[in-house]
Amino acid sequence: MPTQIDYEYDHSLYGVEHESGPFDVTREIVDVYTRSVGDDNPIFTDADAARAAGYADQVAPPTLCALFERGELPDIKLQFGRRQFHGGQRVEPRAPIVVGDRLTASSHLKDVYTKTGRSGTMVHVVWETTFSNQDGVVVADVQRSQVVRE
Amino acid sequence: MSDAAMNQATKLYYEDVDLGDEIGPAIVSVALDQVVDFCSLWGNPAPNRFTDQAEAEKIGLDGPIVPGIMTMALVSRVITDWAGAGAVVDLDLVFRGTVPHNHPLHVGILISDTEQDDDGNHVQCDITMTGPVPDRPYVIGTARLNLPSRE
Repeated sequence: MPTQIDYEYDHSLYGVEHESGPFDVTREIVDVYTRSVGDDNPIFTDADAARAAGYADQVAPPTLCALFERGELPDIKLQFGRRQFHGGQRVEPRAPIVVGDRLTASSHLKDVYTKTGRSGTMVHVVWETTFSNQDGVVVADVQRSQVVRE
Repeated sequence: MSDAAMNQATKLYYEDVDLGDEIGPAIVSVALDQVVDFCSLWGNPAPNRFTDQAEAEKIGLDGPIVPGIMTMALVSRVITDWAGAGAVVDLDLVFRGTVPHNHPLHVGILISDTEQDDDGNHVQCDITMTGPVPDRPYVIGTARLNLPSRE
C-alpha cells in the first residue's frame, strides 16, 4: 500500500518554459561522445560517410542531445530527502542532429510524484525538454526523471 | 548513395524482424578513461562520483559508477549497431541499479510488437542491461524503431 508522505516544492514552475542554449554541436563533441561509448558507426564518426548516406554532415548519435539538458534546469526547492539519483531518461529523436547544428532547449516541469518500494518512498521529478535546431526544426524530445530518496 | 554508406544508415528492414525475436545480448564494458572523457562533455570534470573512488565512497557507493546518460548512450549504440543509425524513434529507460566500471554489461533486445501503418513500419522492443545477476537488471526499458521496408 502506498505511503502518504509530505513533501513541498515550488509549484509555480508548472506551466513555465525555461529556455537554454545555444548548444553548438561540434565535431569534437560528437567525436569524444562516440569514442567514449565505443560507437564506430561511420554515420556518427565520418562526415564523408554521413554525406554519402544523405545527411548534411556527421550525425550525432540519437541520445547525444541529453548531454545539453543536464544542469540547465531550475531548482524545484523540494523539501524531501537528501539523496538523489538519475532514475530514468527518455529520448525521442525527431530529426537528425548533425555537426554544425546550433540547438536551443525549452524545458518544463512535467510531473512530481511519489513511489514506494522495497527501499522506501521516493519522489520522482520529471522534466521534459524539446530541442530545436537553428532552423526552428524540433530535433528531439527528452524526458529526465530525477529521484530523491528519504 | 553508396551501398556501404546505405548499409551503415539502414542495417535492418522491417521484414527482418519477428515478434519474439531476441537480439544479443551484446556485451559491453566501460573503463575509467571512457567515463572521464564522457564526463568532460557535460560539465562534470573529474574527480567526481563517476570517476573517483573516494568521491564515490563519500555518497555511499562501493566505487565509481557509469553515469545514467552514458548507460543510455551504450544501449543506444547497441541498438543502432543492429538496426542502423536512423532507426530509433523512442528510447525510454529506467535506471534500476548503479552500473560499475570494468564489468561485462549484457544488453538484450526482445521484439515485443511489430506494426505497419501509414506512419511507417514500427518495431517495439523491450530492453535490458544486466550484470552478473540476470534477474536484477541495471536498466530496463523500451525502444521503438521505425524501419524501412523491402517492399
